[in-house]
Amino acid sequence: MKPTPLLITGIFASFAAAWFGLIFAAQTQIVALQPEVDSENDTVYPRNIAGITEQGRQAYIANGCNQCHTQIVRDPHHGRDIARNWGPRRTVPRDYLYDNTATLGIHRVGPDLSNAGANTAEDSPRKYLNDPEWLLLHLYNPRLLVRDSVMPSYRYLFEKRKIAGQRSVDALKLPAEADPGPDYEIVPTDEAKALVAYLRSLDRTFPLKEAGGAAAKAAPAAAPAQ
Amino acid sequence: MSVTSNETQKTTAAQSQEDAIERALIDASTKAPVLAFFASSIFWLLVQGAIGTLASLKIFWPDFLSGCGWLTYGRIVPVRDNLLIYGWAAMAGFGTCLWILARLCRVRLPRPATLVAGVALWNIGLIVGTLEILAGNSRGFQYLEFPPYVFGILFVAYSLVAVWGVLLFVNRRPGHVYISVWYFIGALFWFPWLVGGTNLIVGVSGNGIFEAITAAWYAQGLLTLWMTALAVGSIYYLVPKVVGRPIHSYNLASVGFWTFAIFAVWTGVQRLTGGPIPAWIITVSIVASILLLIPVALVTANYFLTLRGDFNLVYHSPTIRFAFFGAVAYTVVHVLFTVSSFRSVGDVTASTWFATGLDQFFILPFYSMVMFGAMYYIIPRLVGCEWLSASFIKMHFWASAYGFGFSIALLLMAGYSQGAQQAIVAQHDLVNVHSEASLWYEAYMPFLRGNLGAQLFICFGQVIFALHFVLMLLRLGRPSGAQPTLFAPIQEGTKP
Repeated sequence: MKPTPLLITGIFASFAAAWFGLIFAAQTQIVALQPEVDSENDTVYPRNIAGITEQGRQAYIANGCNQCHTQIVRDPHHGRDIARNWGPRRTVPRDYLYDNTATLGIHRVGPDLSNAGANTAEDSPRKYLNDPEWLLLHLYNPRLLVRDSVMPSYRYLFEKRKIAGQRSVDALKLPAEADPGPDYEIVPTDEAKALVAYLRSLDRTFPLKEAGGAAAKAAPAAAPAQ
Repeated sequence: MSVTSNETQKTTAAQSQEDAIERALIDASTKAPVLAFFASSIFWLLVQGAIGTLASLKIFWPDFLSGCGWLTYGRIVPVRDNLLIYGWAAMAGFGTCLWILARLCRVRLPRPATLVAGVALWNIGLIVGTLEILAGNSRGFQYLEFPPYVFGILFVAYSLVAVWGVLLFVNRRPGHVYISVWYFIGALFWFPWLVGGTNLIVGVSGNGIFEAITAAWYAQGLLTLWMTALAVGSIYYLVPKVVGRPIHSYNLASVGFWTFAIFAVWTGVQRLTGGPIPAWIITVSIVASILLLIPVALVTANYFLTLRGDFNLVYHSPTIRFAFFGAVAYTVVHVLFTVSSFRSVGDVTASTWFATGLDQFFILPFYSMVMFGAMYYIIPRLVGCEWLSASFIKMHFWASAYGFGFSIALLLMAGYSQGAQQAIVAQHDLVNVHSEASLWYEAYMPFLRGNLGAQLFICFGQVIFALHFVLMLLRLGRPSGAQPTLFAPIQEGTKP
């Protein structure tokens, strides 16, 4: 008996079967997805990410934010994400049509950020996630704003500068314990600003049909996105 | 079909001079590349241990070295993971695989110098990839963080290993194809398909969720398919060798191999349980991971039946002790993997430390312990002296066993506690960001503190191992020809 052809064929066939059954089949299903057009409000969702938001997304991946933050809202049968106010509805494949899904994330060492930018309402409990000043200060030193935070300080995304003439409009308004000194100011770099722009752009609240549609819109936690 | 192997019979029977000369010639041909693979793998094991310890420190001390982007937590963690997989695990596996293939096929390795160049190229790929991640050019997908061109470098280096492995197989002496060879040939074929196929999709297709599915399938495939094939193949070689008997049942081994080959490739997408993935894909992966318990049961049964009557070797022989630990971990990690695949469990453990713990369970107590066992067996045969000190091996074993055990148990508990805490956090008044964060952190931080201690313990064991290895390279071991270095002398005359 010659086992070699059988061995090689079997090794190949078992792998190929799974590849076609799992990966190729998934591809045929997902590639057919199209953005949803809301003719009533004349909007298309999702939109491609571009410009400063795209730079921010690159910074998000480059600095490994996805190691500790996810961008997945699970439906109420599979976790407490909605109860924790991380979004009004579960996220579905169409939400990520134009996304680099490295941002889905690996861990939840910190909170989920799927809808960071959707917290626009005045009474939104997570309003701070859409507040550029809060976000920048939090990037600079999370413990200035959240006492027990284990998030690293991203001081390298900021520049300590000697104040020449007038203070920069971008300069962080630091509390006394983090004051860089009378003649100095802390200014965010372009990367930090892009990162904040990206976080503020995160909004997956659009009532997609497969995610509950209008029912999701009516959910109490929903913060209407502009 | 004959159920015995020529190789295993030889250890018990009086070995002819001719066989001994043949083995010496084969070992001489594999010496340079296999030692180069082992030396590099042990080097990367130490590097990733140091980086991993720094990462653990940074969780408790988030301002530590925070002025430098190159050392931020989000960059050093992927470096640690990638060096553990492509540095330590891959290189240790390649070395072991080539050495055992040459021995079992009874062929000398042709042109070993070219393969040493392959080792060098693989190392260059790792260095470049590490620098790219630290510089902020990571791709972001787990275990795929190296930029695509780095995988290109690794792929070229790997193709040398694969070609050489297949050459050994094709030119083998006529006769029975031993079961380890099946697993190694499988591993040699599956690895490039996993890496190649995934790299042609992730970051290229531009099709969001499809890339996430492929990346998850790849990450799990590295563990459940490729590493498992290398480790199981190694145990199938080491246990009969040291025991001096063929494996208990060839039929069990055969069915175990084919069920493994068929089911293992389908697992993996459950890493995204509850995520934005079509539900059927996750269901398929869950079903596959349940079916994967069939080969696990068969292989486990075969190991135990082969070892039956010789369990005292676990006490005496370093190789068997490490391999036995790995074999038990193999069974436990697969059961845990299947249980945590169920949606009811996955809903709690998804995206928590539990997932990290489970991945490390595959890599450390299972795969790495088997590789340590293989190295303790192979290296004396290559350098021509026996391990210097049984105490060093003992320290390495216990530091690794306790370190891996505690580290992973704590990570799994941290993850479960984190998952269970989400219900409590969800009821909390969300306006107070301080107490919400504290509630969340206190679910896992105590466990991580323990994990840091366990990690230091692991590092201690690996440093001892590396020192011992360097002594062997300098030929400062005990003279060969004497009994192999054992934890305790064997009374009844069994020759490991």
